[in-house]
Amino acid sequence: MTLPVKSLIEEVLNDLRRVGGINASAAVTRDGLLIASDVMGEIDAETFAAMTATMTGAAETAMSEVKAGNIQRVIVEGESGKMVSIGAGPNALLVVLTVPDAPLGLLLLKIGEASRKIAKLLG
Amino acid sequence: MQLTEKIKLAIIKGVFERGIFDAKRLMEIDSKKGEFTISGIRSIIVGTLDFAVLHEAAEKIAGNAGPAILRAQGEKVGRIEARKAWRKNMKRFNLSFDVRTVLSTLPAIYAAVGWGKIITTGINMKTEEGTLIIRNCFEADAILELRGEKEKPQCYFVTGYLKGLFGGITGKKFQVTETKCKAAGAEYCEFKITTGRESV
Repeated sequence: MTLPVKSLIEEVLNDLRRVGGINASAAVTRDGLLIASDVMGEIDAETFAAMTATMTGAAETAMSEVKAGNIQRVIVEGESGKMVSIGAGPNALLVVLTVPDAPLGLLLLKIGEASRKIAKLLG
Repeated sequence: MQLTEKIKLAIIKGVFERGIFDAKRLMEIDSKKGEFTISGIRSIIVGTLDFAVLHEAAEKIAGNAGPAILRAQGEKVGRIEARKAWRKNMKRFNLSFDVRTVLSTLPAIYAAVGWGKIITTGINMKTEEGTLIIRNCFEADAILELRGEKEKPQCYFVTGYLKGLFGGITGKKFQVTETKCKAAGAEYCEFKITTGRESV
């Protein structure tokens, strides 16, 4: 990937944070490598990328096992936040970490828009 | 007499080649206990095809993210070996624990334990970056034998291992990317090693 593409994806992630309620986000390959991130200091972005890709991959295989079709997104709700993972084209994922009381309806809309932008940038 | 760096590294290589030869004689089987040890360390011998089975299992559980599991596993092993085995041996031979000395001895050691023929001449010792080649890499051969030729490079464990090894030696952050793979039709496996984070 050329540097400008990475910068453009970082811009998409920065724009997403401005929506509010988002603590961190990352674009990762489906096999767990970091493409670009907008994460807090204490989060290791590379480990986060590998973990979230694994989580999404496991969700996909579980759904496939029960013949429930392709997944739209994975949402994990924790005490201190929510994590949303959504496809960004055939080879990438967008993963977003939100505050616990984030309005998911609006955020999912914005996350969906961002994922489509990233998919387009990655071609 | 002041030894030149070249002579010193040649001596180191020789020491390690002899060391590995001795290590073979340090292998012991205790059939009463059912234990196998190398230099007193409890070990098992695992066929390389088991690595291809690990690939399959990781993909079955995590789908496209299977490689992430294998890379993480390799990175952890590389870090542990850098800090424990490599550091210990460097100290034993009164050698500096750095990329130059490790890379000078690594091909002899890893060839002796069956990882393949490693060529480290593509690494710039000053920047610690460059390319590392492995001919007959065990992971690629295992994939080829059990799963056939793939479209993408497959040596995820080795990729993670090299990242962990370099990081463990230097304390820096490295990126390792497999750019050519025998399991994907190339003549050999080639790993690009860079410092810092790089987009993929």
